[in-house]
Amino acid sequence: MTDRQSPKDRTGYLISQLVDGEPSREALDELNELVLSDTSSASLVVDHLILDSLLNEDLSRDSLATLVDLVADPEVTAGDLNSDTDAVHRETRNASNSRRRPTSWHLRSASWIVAAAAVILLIVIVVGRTEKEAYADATQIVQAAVHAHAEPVERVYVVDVERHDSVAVSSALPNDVRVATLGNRFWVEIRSLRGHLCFGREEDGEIWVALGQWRGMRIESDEVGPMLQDIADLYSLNLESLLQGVLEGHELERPVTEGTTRVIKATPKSSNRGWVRDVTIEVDQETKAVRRLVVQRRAPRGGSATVTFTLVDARLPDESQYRLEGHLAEPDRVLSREFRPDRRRVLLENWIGPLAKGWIVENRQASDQK
Amino acid sequence: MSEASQEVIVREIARCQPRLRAFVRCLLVRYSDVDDILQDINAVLWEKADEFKPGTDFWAWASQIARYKVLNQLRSYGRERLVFDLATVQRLADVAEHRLNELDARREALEGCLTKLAPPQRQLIDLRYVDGHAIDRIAETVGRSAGAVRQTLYRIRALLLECIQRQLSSEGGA
Repeated sequence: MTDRQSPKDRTGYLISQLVDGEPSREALDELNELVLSDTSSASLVVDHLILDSLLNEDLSRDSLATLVDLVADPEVTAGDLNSDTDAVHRETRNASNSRRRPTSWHLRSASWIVAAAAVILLIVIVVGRTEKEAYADATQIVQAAVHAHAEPVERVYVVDVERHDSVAVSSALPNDVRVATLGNRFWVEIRSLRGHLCFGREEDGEIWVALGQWRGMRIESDEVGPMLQDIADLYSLNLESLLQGVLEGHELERPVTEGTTRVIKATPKSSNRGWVRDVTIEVDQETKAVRRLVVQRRAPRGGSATVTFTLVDARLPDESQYRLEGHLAEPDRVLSREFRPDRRRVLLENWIGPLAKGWIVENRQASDQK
Repeated sequence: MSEASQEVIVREIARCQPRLRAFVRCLLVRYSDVDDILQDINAVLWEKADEFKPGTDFWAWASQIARYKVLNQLRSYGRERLVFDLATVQRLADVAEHRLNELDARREALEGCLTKLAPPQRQLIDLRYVDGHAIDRIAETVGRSAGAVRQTLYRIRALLLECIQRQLSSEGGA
């Protein structure tokens, strides 16, 4: 023990070496002696190691933040997620409802909202102020896609992100994000080296989240906060819903035919505004399904990224996968409005970060009143 | 073994995974060794499933198997591997076995306690556990020394433990 450290500090130091690094042989010998000679130290070591295990288990699995990072900015750090949810949401709403685009974005910390807004802006761009004929043509194509979307066919899209700067290109590569859509229902599966996570929406608008294999939650349609609604619309590729957020300020090119696909390209009027550069939507001429959706955007920390949804399969749906139970194994624990509703917010916040505060509206209001 | 017994064992093994993981963690120096040993333990539990008497305490049975599996594994390691002394492992196992009876309650308490952390504290926890960054990288990110980061993380975990204990006590007293 060093002269300057009290026994308590020394114990803390040894435990910190054990939990957060590899202790030296000498430190380990000291720890062995301490555990055997002092019951309270043994208990303290166990308490810290159990806590370490819980934190690793509960926090280090793939969270929705992984998807967010993947879609928007693979480099984003957890610290960046400490932004104000309402402010972010306000910004997102402004982007979809106001004619005036925000002149600057401070959304480094909210990259998944950026991703959601990117697709909202995609629609904004697609149907933005433009010549009437092209507008009508583009609208027809999109409406046909919306109609096709309502058919009882499951469509599976792979979500890819390509960074155009040198640093983070590889960081997103091990992940595999797939979105399966069936009408207004969808479920998203994220696979990576660390495991997998799923969430989805039922026909009545209820959203479920499978947090690992044994825990899940249900968020009924009237509890779904606006931000979560945006995300749900994003991943269900619910163009009809997204079209409601029309903005001006982007140039729409006349749709062109490429093989069996109708392609609509759009660019912002001013390249200096916003973070979306170019957007391309490709609709299959025959099936009217959206085959590809490509959003080129500025990355929050400079550089740029291309987010692509690519149709990889159209098939008869496996209905069970659109329900939470299809993703859980017994003994499972499902939190809902009826069963421990307040735990849902806590769990979401732990998995996703402070941004998830606004996901469950009713609970947030109830919490505010307390 | 009957099909029904197999089903019971499979279910019990699955139910015990979080506790087993935490138990093994308590006996090992390196977190990275946990998964490998846990896999071996699961295999042994399945092999010895016939020995489990339905109606008895599955956790007591499984934790004994886990304890001896870890001890055997540690004996097989060479001197160069950093591991606890076997006597220490036994001592830690005794404490952990008891503590882990309330793991679910601890987890629930932890969920609430995490939300009470100040933003900078939560940021460190997230860098460490959500992002899984090494201490050196966290130190670089937050502009502090690795030692200072370790010390701060220790203090944050101590706060979380206090909070958990308070919640467990209040629930126990309610």
